[in-house]
Amino acid sequence: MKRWWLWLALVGLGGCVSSSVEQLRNAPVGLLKEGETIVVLGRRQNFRHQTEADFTRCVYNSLMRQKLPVKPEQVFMDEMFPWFQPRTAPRSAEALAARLTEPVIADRLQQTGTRYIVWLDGVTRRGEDGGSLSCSVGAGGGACVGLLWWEEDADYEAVIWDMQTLKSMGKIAVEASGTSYIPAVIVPIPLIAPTQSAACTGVARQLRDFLRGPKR
Amino acid sequence: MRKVLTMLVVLLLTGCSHQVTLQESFPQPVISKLPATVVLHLPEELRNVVHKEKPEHGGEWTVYFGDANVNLFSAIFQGLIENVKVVEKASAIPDGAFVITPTMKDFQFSTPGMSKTDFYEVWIKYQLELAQPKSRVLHTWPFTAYGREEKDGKAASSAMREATRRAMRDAAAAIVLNYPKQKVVRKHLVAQGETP
Repeated sequence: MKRWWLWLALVGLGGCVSSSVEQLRNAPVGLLKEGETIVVLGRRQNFRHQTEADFTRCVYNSLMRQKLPVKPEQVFMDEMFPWFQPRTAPRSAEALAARLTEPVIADRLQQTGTRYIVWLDGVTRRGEDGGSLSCSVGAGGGACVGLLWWEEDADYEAVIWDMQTLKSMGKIAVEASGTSYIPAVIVPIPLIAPTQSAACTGVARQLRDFLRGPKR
Repeated sequence: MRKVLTMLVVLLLTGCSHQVTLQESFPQPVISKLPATVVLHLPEELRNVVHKEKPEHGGEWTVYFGDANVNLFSAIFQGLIENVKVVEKASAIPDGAFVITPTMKDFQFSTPGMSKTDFYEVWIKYQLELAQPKSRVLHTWPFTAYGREEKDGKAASSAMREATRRAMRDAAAAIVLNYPKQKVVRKHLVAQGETP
């Protein structure tokens, strides 16, 4: 009986994520006007830690679901080729402004109608882990016993650039941490904490509020 | 029965080969074209490159470049320079023309199994040779391009293909960003469009 309480407690605790979101605005909310498009780009400078493609995809999909006019990353990269490749992507709004002194690049940007760039930067890291789990298989079947756990920390930042004024309009920072468990008594039950997904939801919600104004 | 199972396991462990076929096209770069006239010589060794390698860990890899290199350099130089004539054979190069000849010098890769990371990584070393006439080499510019892709549950060959595609796009970025800044290139190509 005691063991059941332990498992119930694990189910209750496992997979939990705590997150915090901060927003810094340099412009009023509800920036987005009719006919303007947004592009969400993941920072992919050639370092060991770069924003995961699935995080960028998750934010893009969330904004799409909220009916925001988002342009796919690849379409924008092709339109502006090769100026937003990892080697050439500007790292600040000032560097972008300097790049757009080239009239051909400025013209292309205007023709393609991209008004805001959302730069996503950050990563989800695996933290401490522990526990042990062993499985054995015999003639009568197999069974596992034990408990594995690990922590994950997600730390992301979204910076919004206005391609018309060439200024940074604001910044959203999100931190999320979660602990996942795999308890096993005969059958392992993974209780995975959706850390990255919580960070994605936090960023997407704030971006929507920032670009379109809060939902009423 | 046991023999068959053992053979299956051995086949699975050692005979797992990967094939990557590139069928890439590349957009022309967004840049003010250099007002110059060049011949872009895409020699046989750049066409249909096939890279075969059996790393210490994992099965054999075969990467078929197909027309990808031709598409890459044609798109870059047609976007970068005003008048570009693409030729396949050296005999088709007109006398006295400035000739740019790209070659692929090396291709290296790393898999998650080799690097113990989550990434497929690709390094391609290209070289651009500028000559005038075709036999007198004025300048050679070797450079390395890099691309990577997370394994992220993808098939190994599609992740390697994406990493290679990114390395080739990085090569385009490297050329657009740095080639016109090369002293000899400036002297011979950029100067063509400058009024005396």
